[in-house]
Amino acid sequence: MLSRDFVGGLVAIALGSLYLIFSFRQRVSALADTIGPAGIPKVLGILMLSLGIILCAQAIFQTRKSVVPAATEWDGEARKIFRAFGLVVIGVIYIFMLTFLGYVLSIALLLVAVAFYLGAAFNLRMILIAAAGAVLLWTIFVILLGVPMPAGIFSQG
Amino acid sequence: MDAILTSLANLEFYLVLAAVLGVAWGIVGGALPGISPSITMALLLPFTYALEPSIAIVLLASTYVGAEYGGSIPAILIRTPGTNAAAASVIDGYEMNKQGKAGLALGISLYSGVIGSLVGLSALVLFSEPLARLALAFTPPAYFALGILGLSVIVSLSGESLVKGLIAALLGLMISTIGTDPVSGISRFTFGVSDLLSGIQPILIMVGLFAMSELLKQASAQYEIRLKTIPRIQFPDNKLKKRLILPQCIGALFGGFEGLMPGAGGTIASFMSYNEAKRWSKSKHEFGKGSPEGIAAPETANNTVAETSLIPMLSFGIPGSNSTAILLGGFLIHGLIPGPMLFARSGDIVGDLYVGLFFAAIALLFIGIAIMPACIWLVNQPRPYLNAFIMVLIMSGIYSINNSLFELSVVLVAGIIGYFMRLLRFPFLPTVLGLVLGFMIESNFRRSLLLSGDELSIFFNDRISLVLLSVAVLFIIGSLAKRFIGFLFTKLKSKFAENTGR
Repeated sequence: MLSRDFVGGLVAIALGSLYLIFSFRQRVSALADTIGPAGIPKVLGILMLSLGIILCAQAIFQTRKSVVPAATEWDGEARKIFRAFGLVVIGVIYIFMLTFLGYVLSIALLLVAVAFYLGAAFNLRMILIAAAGAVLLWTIFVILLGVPMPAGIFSQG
Repeated sequence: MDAILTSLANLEFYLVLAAVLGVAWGIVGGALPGISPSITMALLLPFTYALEPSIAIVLLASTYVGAEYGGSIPAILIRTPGTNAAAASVIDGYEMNKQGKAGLALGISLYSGVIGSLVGLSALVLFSEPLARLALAFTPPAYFALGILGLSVIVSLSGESLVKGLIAALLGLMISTIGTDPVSGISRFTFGVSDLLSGIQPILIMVGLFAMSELLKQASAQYEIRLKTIPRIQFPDNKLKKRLILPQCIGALFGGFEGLMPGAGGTIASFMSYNEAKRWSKSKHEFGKGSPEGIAAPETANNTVAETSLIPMLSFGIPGSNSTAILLGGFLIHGLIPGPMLFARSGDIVGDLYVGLFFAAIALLFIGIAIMPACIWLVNQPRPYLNAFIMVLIMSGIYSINNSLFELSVVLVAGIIGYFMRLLRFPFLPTVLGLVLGFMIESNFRRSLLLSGDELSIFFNDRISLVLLSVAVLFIIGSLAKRFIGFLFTKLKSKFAENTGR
């Protein structure tokens, strides 16, 4: 089983490689200095790639020495990642809703969705808290701080 | 000192209000287990965008002060430190609570916190001011060297794996290259997205890494915390105050020193001062059984750190902890760049910060008492609602900066990156350092070479650059030596245990 360090090293290698590829494809201006816009990124990409390889090597060496199987490191992680992913999906839906539904309604729905997703019971109390929270935040941002939040379907015309 | 007098002469009501509100918000955030001072500050960061720079900075810095005390409330009452730095206060604080002295334990924590804040503030004023004189002598090579000095801190910030710390820093440096090239003006890594042309604001990455990733982590966590009673805070009497002087001095000393050391932070200072207070105490036997000295030393230390950790941040623009990194973000969103030029160009803001921190230290005493029922009420609220409100605050606050949906997406992506960094045990602070220092390092390195006709000797001919680079090299060697000695010590200890069968 792969250890956390090994996976971290693989991610660094992938990231470094991609970054390096785009660095080599970087357009260079006639006004550029000797180093140019791709100079530092190339160095960073090579360093990331090298450190990723070192981390992988370290992880392999440590796994061989270790008496504890790496498999136990990941116990229960898949469920946690799945739960976190759900919260990200709620965030993405909020971003898409915001301009259409407007700030007050979107924020109330976001409150309900996140609280429900994290385990709160769906009842009248939840709806009242979400409505009060949305009005409170609208007051803070729009009235007190003067931030123009989207009115969405409530906008005139 | 002139800046302080000017600030006092033009003292604004809103500056004092910012100090008071910051302390109150900090105590509440610090009291919530799982919400660190940096997250408390990160949640506030977007709101400061609409405020005047001085008020915004004071609000954030006061939050840090309040959070350091707030962390001791659950530490004493439910044996769960609200912040890492409050972990040392659990030992004797919870024992005092079991003996029915929770009010006195909280009173000692508050009283020591105020003393720590005032001592730390004095050190901040004393040490930051002289550094301002260097301001006008800084050239592009010196700024490059300053950036390198900042990056050298990563060696001590990397935790158990230096390689992981360096990878995290490289990630920050890579993000800093997104946008327009500082010398030729050509776009880099923007992939045709116009929103990326001006680069990615550090505030978005900070809020994503610290606050959003914590929410994602807590999506599968279970919190069952109930505080049944609201203790009445009781301050120590004169006899006890005399007994607390020595542990408070020890706490202030360690707090002052550790605050200056990037990466050391309040947690190390708290535990070191606890150990030393025990060693020097006349009542050693009471430690671990509810000693007032065992609360005074760590609480003085972590509040001193909250002030002295601002010294490297203000003077060199190097954040030594997560909280100071967020404060740095507060400076950046107002177009202020901490470092030598801050004192020369925005001395009034530095003066306001000192004055605001003084009011924050005093406000801590009163707000700490007044806000206790509210804190306990909030800690007792169901966690799903608290986290839902935190998510809503993040999304609203970020949108309010530029009314940009793109920036909301960046925060979500940074949150996902932060979540996987937590999962794979990569530290955050090197990423923030790389992100903040990346532009300064690259632009000044290339400008220096343009000035010298591509001669690297410019970095050694410039005296300030030479000194800063030498300090960076010494710092790296020192930190590596410390790591190596620690590694050898652990090896020898395990060998000894193997041989003796212990």
